Amino acid sequence: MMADKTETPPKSISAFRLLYIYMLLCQHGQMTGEELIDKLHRQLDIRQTYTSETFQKYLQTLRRFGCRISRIDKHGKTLYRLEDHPLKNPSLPTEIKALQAVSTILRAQPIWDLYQRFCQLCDNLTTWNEISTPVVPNFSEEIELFKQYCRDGQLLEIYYKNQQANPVMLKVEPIEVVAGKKRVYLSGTDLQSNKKIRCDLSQIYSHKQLPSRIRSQAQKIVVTFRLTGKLVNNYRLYPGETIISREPDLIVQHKTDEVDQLLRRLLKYGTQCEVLTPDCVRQEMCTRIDALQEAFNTEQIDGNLQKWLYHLCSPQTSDDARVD
Amino acid sequence: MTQNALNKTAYRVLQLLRWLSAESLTFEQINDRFAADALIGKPVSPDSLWFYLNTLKALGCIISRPSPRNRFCYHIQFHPFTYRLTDKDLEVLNHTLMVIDDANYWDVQYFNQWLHKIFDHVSNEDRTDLARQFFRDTRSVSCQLDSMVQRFEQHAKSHDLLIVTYISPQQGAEEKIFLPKRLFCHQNIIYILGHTHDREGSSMLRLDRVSQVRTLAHPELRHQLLQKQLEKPVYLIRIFNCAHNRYEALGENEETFRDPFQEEHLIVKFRCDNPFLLRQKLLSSEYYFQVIYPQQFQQDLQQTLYEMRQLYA
Repeated sequence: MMADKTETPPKSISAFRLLYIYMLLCQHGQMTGEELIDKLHRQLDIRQTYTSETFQKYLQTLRRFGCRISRIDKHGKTLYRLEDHPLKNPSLPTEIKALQAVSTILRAQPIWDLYQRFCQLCDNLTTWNEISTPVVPNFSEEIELFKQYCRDGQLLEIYYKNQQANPVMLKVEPIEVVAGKKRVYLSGTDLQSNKKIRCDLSQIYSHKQLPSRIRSQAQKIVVTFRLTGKLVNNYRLYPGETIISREPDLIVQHKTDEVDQLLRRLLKYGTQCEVLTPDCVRQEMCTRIDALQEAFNTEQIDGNLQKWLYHLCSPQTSDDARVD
Repeated sequence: MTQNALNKTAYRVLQLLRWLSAESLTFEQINDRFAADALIGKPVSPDSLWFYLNTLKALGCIISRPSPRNRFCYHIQFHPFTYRLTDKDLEVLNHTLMVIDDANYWDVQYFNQWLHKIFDHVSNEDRTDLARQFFRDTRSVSCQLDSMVQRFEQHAKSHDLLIVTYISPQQGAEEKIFLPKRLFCHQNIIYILGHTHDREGSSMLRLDRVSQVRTLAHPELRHQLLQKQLEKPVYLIRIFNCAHNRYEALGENEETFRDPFQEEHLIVKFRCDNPFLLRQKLLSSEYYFQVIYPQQFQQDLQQTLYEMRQLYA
C-alpha cells in the first residue's frame, strides 16, 4: 500500500522508480511497454515516462541484481517478461517433484490449455525445473475447429450419437471446448431445453454453423439439496455453494448452469442426499433414479451368460473375450 | 558493462531487499555485506540506510525496527516483489486440483504444501482472505500430514497391526484396531485404506482425523486381517448400451469385454478393494449399469437405489 506523498519520509526517488518497475514485473510476470508506461503515469510519486536511456539503465541494474528479463517484440508491441529473479519463491525439492508430477498429469489431458497455463503460472510463482520435454501443443484440427466455433459465436447444428449410440440432432450455442479425463467435450447451451450440455467431440459425426448469432446464455439455477448422515459433518463445499442450515441436516444451495454435472455428483452420495428445490431439478433427479433402477432391475441374465460370467470371475480369463 | 550504466543507489536498495528478505540483520551485519559487495565496496552511513529503508517502505515493504527483542535486527516481514494472483490464475489452480484427483498422495501432499506457501507470499493485499476462500473451495488437504503419511506408509509396508485413535466428527475420539494396506488420495484428501476385525470389507480413514497410532502385538488377528487383504475381490458390472469406444474407465484395475450375447452392452471386470468408491463412481457415472457379481454388492446397490427413490416418493 503506498503512503500519501506528503506523509512519506524522504526516500531515494530514482531507486523508488526503478524498484517500482521491478515490483510491477514481479506482480504481473510480464507487461507490454504500454502497460508499464500507463502504470508509471498513475503512480503518484512518479507520474512521468522514462527516457529510453534511463529505462535501459534501470534494466541493466535489475539484470546486475540477478533478474532475467527478456524483451519480445511482437505485433508492434514490446513485451517485457521477468523470467527469473532473486526474490522468487524457492521451492523445496519435494515440492518441485510434486509440481512436475502435476504438470505431467496435466499434459496427459486431451487438451493442453490447462497444462500450458499451469506451467506459465508456476514460472511466475516459483523457481522450478520444468520438465525437460519441450512444450508442443497437441494440435488437433477438430479441437481447433470447435474452439473457433466458440469464438465465432454462431449457432451450431450438430448431429450427435448419444450415450446409447442413438443419433440426435441438436442446435447448440457453443461456449467452450473442455477436457474430461480422457475425452474432449463441446460445452454449450442446448437451444431446445435452454440448458447447458456437454457433447463428446468424438461422437459428433456431422455439424454446420448456422447464420444466426448467439443471443442467450444458459440460465443459472439455484439448486437446494439436503445432506444427512456422515455428510452433515464431512461435506466440503464446492465452488458456488453456500450453507443454508446445519441442524439437524445440512442444507446447501448450489448455483450452477450445469445441472447435469451437479446431479451426477449428487447421485454418488446415495441416500444421504436429497434435492429439495427447484421442482424441475428434483423431478429430474427422480427420473434419473428411476432410469438407474430400471436398468438395474429389468435385464435378466440367462444361463449362458451366467456360465460365461463364471468363467470371467475365474483368476485366468481367456483373452479371446477381451475387447481390444 | 560499465558501472556507469547502473543506478547505484537502486542497486544498494535492491541488495538490501535481497539480504533482509532472506534473514534478519543488524546494522553492522548489513554494512559488512555492503563492504563485501563487488559493486558497492564500502559501508553506508546510518542516514543512508534509513533513506534506503524508507524507499522500501514506500513501495509497500513491512520492516520491523531493531529492538532488544529482535537482537537489534532489521527484518522484512512482507515485501510486494512477488507475483499477484489473478482470478484466472485461481481458476487454473482450482481446475488443476480437480484434475489431479487420483494422483500419488505424496505429490498431492507436497503440491498442497506448495500452494499454502505460495498464498503466504503473493502480493495480493487480500491474500489471507483469498487463501481462506481458495482452500475452502478447493477442499485442500491439510499440509501438516508429513509425519503421519510417512508413518502409515511404513506401517502398511511392514503390515503392522495398529491401534488408531480416530476423531470422528459424529462419535468423537474412538480407537480402532486396523491393519493398513495402502494410502491413497481422493478428491484432494489423503486416506489410509485397510481392514478392521469387525467389518467384512475394507475401511478407509481420513489421515487428518487420525490423532494417535500405536502398534499392537496380536499375531493371530494380524494374520486373519492379512488374509482378508490378500483377497482381490472381483466385481462384474454390465454397462448398458455403451459401445466400447464410448466407455471411459471408472477405475484403474478394470478390463472391458463385449457382452457376448448382447453386443451393445459392455461387461466391466473390476478388481477393487474399495467397494464404497466403486459404488460412488458407478452412481456418478453417465452410464446405466447393472451389478452382476458379487451378489452382496448387487443387493446393496439395489437397496440404495430403492431408498434413494423413496426420498422422492
